[in-house]
Amino acid sequence: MSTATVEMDLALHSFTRTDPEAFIPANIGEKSSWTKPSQEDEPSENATTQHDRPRELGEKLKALFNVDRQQAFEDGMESEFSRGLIALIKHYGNSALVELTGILRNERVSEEALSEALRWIGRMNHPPSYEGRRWAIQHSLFHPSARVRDGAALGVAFLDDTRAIPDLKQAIRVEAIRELREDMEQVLAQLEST
Amino acid sequence: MPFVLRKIRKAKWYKHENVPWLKVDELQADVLGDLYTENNALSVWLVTNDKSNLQRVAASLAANCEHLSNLDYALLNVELIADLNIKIVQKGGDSADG
Repeated sequence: MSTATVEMDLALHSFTRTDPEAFIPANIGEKSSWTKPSQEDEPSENATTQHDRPRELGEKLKALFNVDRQQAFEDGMESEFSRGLIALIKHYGNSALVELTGILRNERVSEEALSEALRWIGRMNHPPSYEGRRWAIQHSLFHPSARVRDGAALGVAFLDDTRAIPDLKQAIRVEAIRELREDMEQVLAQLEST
Repeated sequence: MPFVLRKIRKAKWYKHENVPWLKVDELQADVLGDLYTENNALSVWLVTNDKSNLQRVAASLAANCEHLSNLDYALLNVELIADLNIKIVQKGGDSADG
Protein backbone atom coordinates (compact mmCIF):
# COMPACT_ATOMS: atom_id res chain seq x y z
CA MET A 1 0.00 0.00 0.00
CA SER A 2 1.28 3.48 -0.81
CA THR A 3 0.93 6.94 0.55
CA ALA A 4 1.58 10.26 -1.08
CA THR A 5 2.87 13.39 0.60
CA VAL A 6 1.14 16.50 -0.61
CA GLU A 7 -0.18 19.83 0.34
CA MET A 8 -3.93 19.99 -0.08
CA ASP A 9 -6.29 22.42 -1.67
CA LEU A 10 -9.63 22.32 0.09
CA ALA A 11 -11.71 21.66 -3.03
CA LEU A 12 -12.94 18.32 -1.84
CA HIS A 13 -14.31 15.47 -3.78
CA SER A 14 -16.26 14.30 -0.77
CA PHE A 15 -16.15 13.70 2.93
CA THR A 16 -17.61 10.52 4.19
CA ARG A 17 -18.32 8.32 7.20
CA THR A 18 -17.89 4.57 7.04
CA ASP A 19 -21.10 2.63 6.57
CA PRO A 20 -23.00 0.89 9.39
CA GLU A 21 -21.52 -2.50 8.53
CA ALA A 22 -18.13 -1.13 9.47
CA PHE A 23 -19.46 0.41 12.65
CA ILE A 24 -20.14 -2.35 15.10
CA PRO A 25 -21.60 -1.29 18.45
CA ALA A 26 -19.23 -2.05 21.28
CA ASN A 27 -21.82 -2.77 23.93
CA ILE A 28 -23.90 -5.54 22.42
CA GLY A 29 -25.54 -7.41 25.26
CA GLU A 30 -25.49 -4.49 27.71
CA LYS A 31 -29.09 -3.59 28.61
CA SER A 32 -29.80 -2.49 31.67
CA SER A 33 -32.94 19.21 25.93
CA TRP A 34 -32.45 22.06 25.72
CA THR A 35 -36.00 22.66 24.55
CA LYS A 36 -36.83 19.15 25.65
CA PRO A 37 -38.00 17.54 22.43
CA SER A 38 -37.02 14.19 23.89
CA GLN A 39 -40.06 12.14 24.83
CA GLU A 40 -38.44 10.66 27.89
CA ASP A 41 -38.03 12.25 31.29
CA GLU A 42 -34.70 13.04 32.88
CA PRO A 43 -33.66 10.44 35.48
CA SER A 44 -34.87 11.76 38.82
CA GLU A 45 -33.62 9.48 41.51
CA ASN A 46 -32.52 11.05 44.79
CA ALA A 47 -28.87 10.82 43.92
CA THR A 48 -29.37 13.28 41.09
CA THR A 49 -30.42 16.23 43.23
CA GLN A 50 -27.99 19.08 43.65
CA HIS A 51 -27.99 18.62 47.41
CA ASP A 52 -27.01 14.96 47.30
CA ARG A 53 -24.34 15.12 44.63
CA PRO A 54 -20.78 14.87 45.93
CA ARG A 55 -19.29 18.32 46.20
CA GLU A 56 -16.06 17.39 44.47
CA LEU A 57 -17.73 15.78 41.47
CA GLY A 58 -18.61 19.00 39.66
CA GLU A 59 -15.10 20.34 40.09
CA LYS A 60 -13.57 17.12 38.80
CA LEU A 61 -15.75 17.11 35.71
CA LYS A 62 -15.17 20.78 35.00
CA ALA A 63 -11.43 20.26 35.35
CA LEU A 64 -11.61 17.37 32.94
CA PHE A 65 -13.37 19.45 30.30
CA ASN A 66 -11.20 22.52 30.85
CA VAL A 67 -7.90 20.69 30.68
CA ASP A 68 -8.86 19.06 27.42
CA ARG A 69 -10.08 22.19 25.67
CA GLN A 70 -7.28 21.99 23.13
CA GLN A 71 -6.85 18.24 23.02
CA ALA A 72 -7.03 16.66 19.59
CA PHE A 73 -9.29 13.63 19.71
CA GLU A 74 -9.03 10.77 17.28
CA ASP A 75 -11.76 8.30 16.38
CA GLY A 76 -11.24 4.90 17.93
CA MET A 77 -8.47 6.09 20.25
CA GLU A 78 -8.61 6.50 24.00
CA SER A 79 -7.39 9.69 25.63
CA GLU A 80 -6.81 11.00 29.12
CA PHE A 81 -10.16 12.70 28.67
CA SER A 82 -12.09 9.53 27.80
CA ARG A 83 -10.42 7.51 30.53
CA GLY A 84 -11.09 10.24 33.09
CA LEU A 85 -14.72 10.61 32.07
CA ILE A 86 -15.41 6.89 32.20
CA ALA A 87 -13.73 6.61 35.60
CA LEU A 88 -15.90 9.41 37.02
CA ILE A 89 -19.13 7.88 35.68
CA LYS A 90 -18.22 4.46 37.03
CA HIS A 91 -17.41 5.96 40.41
CA TYR A 92 -20.27 8.45 40.78
CA GLY A 93 -22.93 6.85 38.55
CA ASN A 94 -25.97 8.96 37.68
CA SER A 95 -24.69 11.88 39.74
CA ALA A 96 -21.88 12.26 37.21
CA LEU A 97 -24.39 12.17 34.37
CA VAL A 98 -26.50 14.91 35.94
CA GLU A 99 -23.36 17.06 36.27
CA LEU A 100 -22.49 16.22 32.70
CA THR A 101 -25.92 17.36 31.56
CA GLY A 102 -25.21 20.71 33.19
CA ILE A 103 -21.90 20.91 31.34
CA LEU A 104 -23.65 20.10 28.07
CA ARG A 105 -25.74 23.23 28.62
CA ASN A 106 -22.64 25.36 29.19
CA GLU A 107 -21.77 27.30 26.04
CA ARG A 108 -18.22 27.93 27.20
CA VAL A 109 -17.23 24.29 27.13
CA SER A 110 -15.44 22.94 24.06
CA GLU A 111 -17.92 21.45 21.61
CA GLU A 112 -15.27 18.97 20.56
CA ALA A 113 -14.95 17.69 24.13
CA LEU A 114 -18.73 17.49 24.53
CA SER A 115 -19.00 15.53 21.31
CA GLU A 116 -16.21 13.21 22.40
CA ALA A 117 -17.90 12.69 25.76
CA LEU A 118 -21.15 11.59 24.11
CA ARG A 119 -19.34 9.03 21.98
CA TRP A 120 -17.63 7.55 25.00
CA ILE A 121 -20.64 7.42 27.29
CA GLY A 122 -22.35 5.59 24.44
CA ARG A 123 -19.66 2.99 24.11
CA MET A 124 -18.62 2.44 27.75
CA ASN A 125 -19.76 -0.70 29.49
CA HIS A 126 -21.39 0.17 32.82
CA PRO A 127 -24.92 -1.23 33.26
CA PRO A 128 -25.78 0.77 36.44
CA SER A 129 -25.51 4.07 34.55
CA TYR A 130 -26.97 2.80 31.28
CA GLU A 131 -30.36 4.54 31.45
CA GLY A 132 -28.83 7.83 32.52
CA ARG A 133 -26.29 7.66 29.72
CA ARG A 134 -28.99 6.81 27.21
CA TRP A 135 -31.06 9.77 28.36
CA ALA A 136 -28.12 12.20 28.13
CA ILE A 137 -27.21 10.98 24.64
CA GLN A 138 -30.74 11.04 23.24
CA HIS A 139 -31.35 14.47 24.72
CA SER A 140 -28.18 15.75 23.04
CA LEU A 141 -29.52 14.87 19.59
CA PHE A 142 -31.22 18.27 19.85
CA HIS A 143 -28.23 20.27 21.13
CA PRO A 144 -27.72 23.68 19.47
CA SER A 145 -24.25 22.67 18.26
CA ALA A 146 -24.03 20.45 15.18
CA ARG A 147 -20.75 19.06 16.47
CA VAL A 148 -22.40 17.93 19.68
CA ARG A 149 -25.36 16.49 17.79
CA ASP A 150 -22.89 14.48 15.73
CA GLY A 151 -21.38 13.05 18.92
CA ALA A 152 -24.87 12.23 20.17
CA ALA A 153 -25.70 10.38 16.95
CA LEU A 154 -22.54 8.34 17.34
CA GLY A 155 -23.40 7.70 20.99
CA VAL A 156 -26.80 6.39 19.90
CA ALA A 157 -25.09 4.15 17.36
CA PHE A 158 -22.80 2.75 20.04
CA LEU A 159 -25.69 2.07 22.42
CA ASP A 160 -27.55 0.32 19.60
CA ASP A 161 -30.79 0.59 21.58
CA THR A 162 -34.00 0.65 19.54
CA ARG A 163 -35.68 2.80 22.20
CA ALA A 164 -33.73 5.72 20.72
CA ILE A 165 -35.57 5.45 17.41
CA PRO A 166 -38.40 7.96 18.17
CA ASP A 167 -35.95 10.67 19.29
CA LEU A 168 -33.63 9.90 16.39
CA LYS A 169 -36.46 10.22 13.89
CA GLN A 170 -37.45 13.53 15.43
CA ALA A 171 -33.83 14.74 15.28
CA ILE A 172 -33.65 13.77 11.60
CA ARG A 173 -36.83 15.71 10.86
CA VAL A 174 -35.41 18.93 12.33
CA GLU A 175 -31.74 18.55 11.35
CA ALA A 176 -30.75 21.40 9.01
CA ILE A 177 -27.29 20.12 8.01
CA ARG A 178 -27.66 17.63 5.19
CA GLU A 179 -24.49 15.62 5.90
CA LEU A 180 -25.37 15.27 9.57
CA ARG A 181 -28.92 14.32 8.69
CA GLU A 182 -27.56 11.59 6.41
CA ASP A 183 -25.32 10.31 9.21
CA MET A 184 -28.32 10.18 11.53
CA GLU A 185 -30.26 8.26 8.89
CA GLN A 186 -27.37 5.82 8.73
CA VAL A 187 -27.66 5.29 12.49
CA LEU A 188 -31.44 4.92 12.18
CA ALA A 189 -30.96 2.22 9.56
CA GLN A 190 -28.59 0.44 11.95
CA LEU A 191 -31.13 0.55 14.79
CA GLU A 192 -34.00 -0.55 12.58
CA SER A 193 -31.98 -3.56 11.48
CA THR A 194 -31.17 -4.51 15.07
CA MET B 1 -7.69 10.30 -11.88
CA PRO B 2 -6.92 8.76 -8.49
CA PHE B 3 -7.76 10.36 -5.18
CA VAL B 4 -5.92 11.15 -2.01
CA LEU B 5 -7.61 10.21 1.24
CA ARG B 6 -7.18 11.94 4.57
CA LYS B 7 -8.66 10.74 7.84
CA ILE B 8 -10.71 13.52 9.41
CA ARG B 9 -13.28 14.20 12.13
CA LYS B 10 -16.31 14.91 10.02
CA ALA B 11 -18.12 16.96 12.64
CA LYS B 12 -15.46 19.67 12.32
CA TRP B 13 -16.45 20.09 8.67
CA TYR B 14 -20.10 20.84 9.30
CA LYS B 15 -20.67 24.54 8.85
CA HIS B 16 -20.52 26.06 12.32
CA GLU B 17 -23.39 28.15 13.61
CA ASN B 18 -20.98 31.03 14.26
CA VAL B 19 -19.92 31.45 10.62
CA PRO B 20 -23.21 31.89 8.74
CA TRP B 21 -21.45 34.16 6.24
CA LEU B 22 -19.40 31.29 4.79
CA LYS B 23 -20.35 30.61 1.18
CA VAL B 24 -21.23 27.22 -0.25
CA ASP B 25 -18.17 24.94 -0.53
CA GLU B 26 -16.11 27.23 1.70
CA LEU B 27 -14.66 25.65 4.81
CA GLN B 28 -14.22 27.01 8.32
CA ALA B 29 -10.88 27.29 10.07
CA ASP B 30 -11.50 24.39 12.45
CA VAL B 31 -11.03 21.90 9.62
CA LEU B 32 -7.36 22.86 9.54
CA GLY B 33 -7.06 20.84 12.73
CA ASP B 34 -7.50 17.74 10.57
CA LEU B 35 -4.73 18.85 8.21
CA TYR B 36 -1.76 19.05 10.53
CA THR B 37 1.57 18.50 8.87
CA GLU B 38 4.83 16.91 9.87
CA ASN B 39 8.14 18.02 8.41
CA ASN B 40 6.13 20.32 6.16
CA ALA B 41 4.36 17.42 4.53
CA LEU B 42 0.80 16.20 4.76
CA SER B 43 0.43 12.44 4.84
CA VAL B 44 -2.44 11.06 2.79
CA TRP B 45 -3.42 7.72 1.28
CA LEU B 46 -3.61 7.07 -2.44
CA VAL B 47 -6.95 5.71 -3.65
CA THR B 48 -7.29 4.38 -7.19
CA ASN B 49 -9.53 6.17 -9.67
CA ASP B 50 -12.13 3.38 -9.49
CA LYS B 51 -11.84 3.41 -5.68
CA SER B 52 -11.24 -0.32 -5.73
CA ASN B 53 -8.78 -0.08 -2.83
CA LEU B 54 -10.91 2.30 -0.75
CA GLN B 55 -12.20 -0.39 1.58
CA ARG B 56 -8.69 -1.73 2.03
CA VAL B 57 -7.35 1.70 2.92
CA ALA B 58 -10.23 2.29 5.34
CA ALA B 59 -9.66 -1.10 6.94
CA SER B 60 -5.98 -0.33 7.26
CA LEU B 61 -6.68 2.96 9.02
CA ALA B 62 -9.25 1.29 11.27
CA ALA B 63 -6.74 -1.39 12.18
CA ASN B 64 -4.54 1.27 13.74
CA CYS B 65 -7.31 2.22 16.20
CA GLU B 66 -7.59 0.92 19.75
CA HIS B 67 -11.36 0.41 19.59
CA LEU B 68 -14.07 -0.24 17.05
CA SER B 69 -15.31 3.13 15.90
CA ASN B 70 -16.66 5.13 13.04
CA LEU B 71 -14.02 6.32 10.58
CA ASP B 72 -14.41 9.61 8.74
CA TYR B 73 -12.36 10.54 5.71
CA ALA B 74 -12.08 13.17 2.99
CA LEU B 75 -11.33 12.36 -0.63
CA LEU B 76 -9.61 14.83 -2.95
CA ASN B 77 -9.08 14.38 -6.67
CA VAL B 78 -5.33 14.22 -7.21
CA GLU B 79 -5.77 16.18 -10.42
CA LEU B 80 -6.45 19.26 -8.35
CA ILE B 81 -3.13 18.81 -6.62
CA ALA B 82 -1.34 18.44 -9.95
CA ASP B 83 -2.98 21.62 -11.19
CA LEU B 84 -1.50 23.47 -8.24
CA ASN B 85 1.95 22.13 -9.06
CA ILE B 86 2.32 20.64 -5.62
CA LYS B 87 5.03 18.07 -5.11
CA ILE B 88 3.79 14.53 -4.48
CA VAL B 89 6.12 11.97 -2.93
CA GLN B 90 4.93 8.39 -2.98
CA LYS B 91 6.23 6.00 -0.34
CA GLY B 92 5.27 2.88 1.56
CA GLY B 93 2.70 3.30 4.29
CA ASP B 94 2.98 2.14 7.88
CA SER B 95 -0.14 0.02 7.73
CA ALA B 96 -0.33 -3.53 9.00
CA ASP B 97 -0.60 -4.90 5.46
CA GLY B 98 1.85 -2.40 3.94
